[in-house]
Amino acid sequence: MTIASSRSIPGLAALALLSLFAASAAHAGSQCTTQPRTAWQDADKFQAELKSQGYQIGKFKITSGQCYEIYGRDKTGKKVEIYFDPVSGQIVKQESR
Amino acid sequence: MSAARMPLAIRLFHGGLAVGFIGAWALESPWRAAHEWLGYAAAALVLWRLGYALSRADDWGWRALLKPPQAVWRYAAQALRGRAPQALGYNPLAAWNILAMLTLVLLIAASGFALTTDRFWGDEAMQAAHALLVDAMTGLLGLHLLGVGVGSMRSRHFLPRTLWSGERAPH
Repeated sequence: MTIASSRSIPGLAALALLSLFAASAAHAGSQCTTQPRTAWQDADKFQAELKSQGYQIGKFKITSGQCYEIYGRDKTGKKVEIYFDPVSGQIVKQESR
Repeated sequence: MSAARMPLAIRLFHGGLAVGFIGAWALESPWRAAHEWLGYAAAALVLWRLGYALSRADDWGWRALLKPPQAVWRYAAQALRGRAPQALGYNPLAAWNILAMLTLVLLIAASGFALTTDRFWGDEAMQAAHALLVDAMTGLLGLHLLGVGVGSMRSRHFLPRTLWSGERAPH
């Protein structure tokens, strides 16, 4: 394979770029709501409510995907990372270990 | 084994590392368990590669990977003038690009593991470090592909073909 196949380099590069875009689309974090901040639950009350349900909150964040996110432990003591819809308070995504 | 061939083990290693890194990257959000295991698998492959380099005294050994800085500068200067010598093995820039990527894979896996521990669960500095290392890796990967592209043009051989045929070309 010589000169002719060096023409396929732009094609391969395009393919690589395309897969990078596809991957970065998959890479974007969860989107939890599109509602304005005024419609969101109060962050402090929201955390207090979670604590009353037995969660321990180590870190609380507002993500770029408009989620309330906590790192902490659930009531069984398991480490959890949970994304919540800040309007409804519903769990959007949960990781645990 | 002919000196002109890339060992099957290296080709499988390359494929596995590519799948491990790209897979882990793509699955970070949708499938966390796979993300973690692909990352650890990539690190294991790198450890294997570093050990394999110890067992070889040819183009796949440490001598071929650890080029003295003077050789790197000289090669870079020659390359800029379009006069870099062509050879079968890693050129000095490629050797450092590869060593840096191998190191980054280990650091990415180590920081990723740290993020699963009690100490760093949700730790923003460690998350930032993990992400920064991945960005650096992606940049080096871009340079790797650029080098393969330039080498392919210069040598008029489609260098990635070596990955499935095993046949090398001076580049």
